[in-house]
Amino acid sequence: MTRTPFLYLVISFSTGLVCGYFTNRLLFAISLLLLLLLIFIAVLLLSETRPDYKDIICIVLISCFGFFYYEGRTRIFPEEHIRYFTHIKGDLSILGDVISIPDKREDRTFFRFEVRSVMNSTDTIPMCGKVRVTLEDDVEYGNRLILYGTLNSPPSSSNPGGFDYGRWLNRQDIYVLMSPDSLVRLEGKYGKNLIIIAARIRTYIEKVIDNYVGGKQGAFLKGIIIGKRGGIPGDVQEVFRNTGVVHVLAVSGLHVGIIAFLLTLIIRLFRAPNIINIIITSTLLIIYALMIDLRPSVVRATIMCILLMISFLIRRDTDTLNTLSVAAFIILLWNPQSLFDVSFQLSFGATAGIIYLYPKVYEIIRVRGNKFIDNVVIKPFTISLSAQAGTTLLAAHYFYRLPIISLVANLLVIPLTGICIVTGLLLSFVNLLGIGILNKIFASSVYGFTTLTLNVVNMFGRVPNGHFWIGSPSPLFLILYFIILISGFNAIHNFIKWGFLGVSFRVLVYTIFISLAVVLTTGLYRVYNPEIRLTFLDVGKGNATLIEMGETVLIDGGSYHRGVPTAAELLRNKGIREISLIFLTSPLSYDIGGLSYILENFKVGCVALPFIPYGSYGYKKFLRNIKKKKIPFRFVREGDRIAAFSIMNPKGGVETNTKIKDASLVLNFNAKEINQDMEDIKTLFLGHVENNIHEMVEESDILKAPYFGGNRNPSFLEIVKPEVTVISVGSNRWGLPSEEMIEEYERYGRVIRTDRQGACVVRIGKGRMTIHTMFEEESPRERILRWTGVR
Amino acid sequence: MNLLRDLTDLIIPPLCRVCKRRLKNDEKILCNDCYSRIRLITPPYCERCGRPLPNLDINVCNTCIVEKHPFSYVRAVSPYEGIIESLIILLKYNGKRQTSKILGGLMSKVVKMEETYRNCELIVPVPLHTTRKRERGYNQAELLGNELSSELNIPIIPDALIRTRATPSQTKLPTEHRKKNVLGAFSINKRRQELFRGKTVLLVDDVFTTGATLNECTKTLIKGKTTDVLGIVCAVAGWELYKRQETENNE
Repeated sequence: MTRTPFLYLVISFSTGLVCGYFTNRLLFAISLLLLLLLIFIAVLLLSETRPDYKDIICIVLISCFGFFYYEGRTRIFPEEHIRYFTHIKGDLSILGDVISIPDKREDRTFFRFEVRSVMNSTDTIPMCGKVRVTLEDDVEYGNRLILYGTLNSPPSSSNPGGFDYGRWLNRQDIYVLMSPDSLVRLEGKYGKNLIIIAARIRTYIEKVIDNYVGGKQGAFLKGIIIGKRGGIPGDVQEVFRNTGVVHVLAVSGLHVGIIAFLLTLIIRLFRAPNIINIIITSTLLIIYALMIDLRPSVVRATIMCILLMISFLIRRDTDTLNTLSVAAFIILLWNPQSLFDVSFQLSFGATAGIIYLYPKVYEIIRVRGNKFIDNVVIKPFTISLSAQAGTTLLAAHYFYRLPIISLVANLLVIPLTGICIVTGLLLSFVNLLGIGILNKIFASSVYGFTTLTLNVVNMFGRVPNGHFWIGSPSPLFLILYFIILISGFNAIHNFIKWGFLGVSFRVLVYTIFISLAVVLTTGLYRVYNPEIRLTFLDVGKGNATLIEMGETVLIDGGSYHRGVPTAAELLRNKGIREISLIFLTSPLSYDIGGLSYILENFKVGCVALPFIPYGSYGYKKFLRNIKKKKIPFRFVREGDRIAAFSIMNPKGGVETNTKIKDASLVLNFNAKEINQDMEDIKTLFLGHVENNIHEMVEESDILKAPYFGGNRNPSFLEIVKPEVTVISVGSNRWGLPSEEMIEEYERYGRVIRTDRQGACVVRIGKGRMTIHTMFEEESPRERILRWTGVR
Repeated sequence: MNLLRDLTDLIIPPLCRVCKRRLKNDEKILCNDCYSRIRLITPPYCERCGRPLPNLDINVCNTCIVEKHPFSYVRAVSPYEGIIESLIILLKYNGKRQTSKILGGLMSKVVKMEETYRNCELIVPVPLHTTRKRERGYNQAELLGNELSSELNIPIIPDALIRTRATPSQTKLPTEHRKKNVLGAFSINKRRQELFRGKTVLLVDDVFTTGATLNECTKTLIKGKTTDVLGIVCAVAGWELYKRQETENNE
């Protein structure tokens, strides 16, 4: 007899799902399942709710069910699934329905498409599966279309620590992308009525906001009311992330709560009996959830809201944690992969934090006597604090930053957002009445409130040291953190309430000991297994190489991805805030790339570059930034040596007739010079040089091919004899890298292309060198090291 | 239907109103543990106002010696403390109507046991002012009265009395102000007068502190030509005084 039967159900179900996630090795998955179950049951046996053998059998069965359910839903597909068609290179025509409310951005429309059949010239094959379609045309929900175009598999993450678009789509059960060349619309409606209503309301609200508000404010309002985040400019989103209030942009429980509250108030005006009130409110909430495209956070809030209303109706006090678990269970049954989704984790983390920690924290810091301070300051602060405790580090795992300002920012931003939502919705209602002056009054107030909110967020964003880049905490760290958090607060709560230290205290102490042991062992491991790591990033047609050798060296700046340089993303993922040395190979745009951003946002020790006069905007900006930030710089030439790098080119002196490419930097990096124990591995970075390469090279193990693997006189290879050649290249119209050169490189050893194999990581340690490309599977050793946070 | 109930129990597990522990199958609203912790008033108690007394030497408490109550008899189920206190707070301020079932059940037990209540013919709850009632959605004394009425098979007249003045809550007032506060706050419902003329009335309220409210109600009822007024309340406050005496006596 427990208060929260569904909590145990969800935990055991998720245990199964987690094991399903790792199941590419069955034995490993089964042992993991057993281990997790043992831990879970042990915790249960230790805690106050002692289960009997029936409960344990239930737990084991449910987790096995979860395990097989995950398998069945994610790995076993019917033979006629559309994903088996992605390898076909030619065009296909597919027939199907639009099953999501299309997301319209400036000139493009994105939507999910349920495939019914695939047609070729002779016959029609029935098909199933979902496709994410990008279209330059307008479609509505429920349309039946014939699309004509090529199918693609979504690209998976090609850089360590990057956002994995492919996985993100897979989690929504989408394995195929399509940008059709043409389409044919068929007659008739094929959608569900409820969603059609939701789609209409959504378009209506969107139109009202576009008419009356518009601009940045309009985009923000659309984001918070109908969950259309695409229109919000990237820099605004970045400020929201830095201040830790990004959750208001993702329509969340807060919004659903506000709307439910408004609805019940309005319906109560008509003096309807409770049951009718609840039925109407629930229906409208479901329509709202459909309008937001059933995001986990909204579904969670809707389910909880409905359950709470039902419990009110049947006159029962209920445990909110159980209600939360019911919501989690329903979402996981609907789509088991959402367990690994950021928005699911953050949403449930925040809510569980509030439900579980809030009463306990409030007990400790409440102010007795002064009710005003208690209600206005302490309570909201405690709620914000408990939500943060549940999410901050989890969010740091995905976004690499610790926004400490959020503790204060949330107190102001949440009520303001609430006002924005309410006024925005009222504007949409009022617009129905069609009274011009009333519309204008509401529109101006909405505009005012949204501007105020955005300004407040901006203000918090400007606070110095408002957020720290702490890197991505490892999964093991997160697990330990959550155990310490829960058991710690439980222990304090028990101590204050009953005056004794219970099981939680013992758990707390053991976990702290384990954590210390982990910290110690990882530290020792790092000391006794020093490693030099070269990461050749996949930055399309550009260059960026990160060398970690105790200090951090960056060679060239690569390209931008969603407004942030890929290299900066990786540095933040690793929690590196300081770069000792930046090499710039040449002033060409492929090399400079994101360096200006990096100079502005990171602490840079010094910059080394060849002396080449060049007049491009990017280069000038780069030089201006060096001056502005007063970073020491040096023009290097042949024969110079910086740390373990020896410079082989340029020759020095200004020769007007040398080409820029020939004056680019050629570096030789010798691992042995960093640490005598290291394997003797030499890496040669050949820049872009075209002529006389053989004069500036020596024998090396790893070669970074010159000029994206373009045509060069291959004679230099006889001197270099590279075991591994890395070509950093993306799709381009010059046909780089050239086939002949690849053949030449392959004669000496392995060739790695970043466009085919993703980023490439070379690890040089004591007596060994390993090479891992992103599209290869990680070795178990590396995976364990990454998960425990050693590397 | 059993399956449906079990499912509801899983999704919305019933919890004890006071200690929030999961209820077992046979329990309702309150768990057995909490139920057993309700302290009932046992003799000796004041034969006028029902307050628990320290010993058998006296039969009237100090306040009743000083002040004469117009009603003939009042009994309380329990002192205003612990479980009963939280139940009454839940009923009055948190909108949990079902707690009236527990409280009403306890009251009916007391009424059934006492000889004095045998000749009660009507139940009248202490009324709330209309604004307060609209705010709260119900009158807690009326809910208690309904429970009693169904248990004892005595008819109830919920609107026999009317609160004519919206008085501030008695709970925060000192003793001397309470009487003034409720003075003339009630009146008889003329349309119902025929129903209780010449009858013995059982007056129901939630908490008895100084008796100011009950006194005023009784006076009004007696003006309305009722023969006798008896009272029953859930809890009696102000018993700490006697508890202190109790401990002194023990020493």
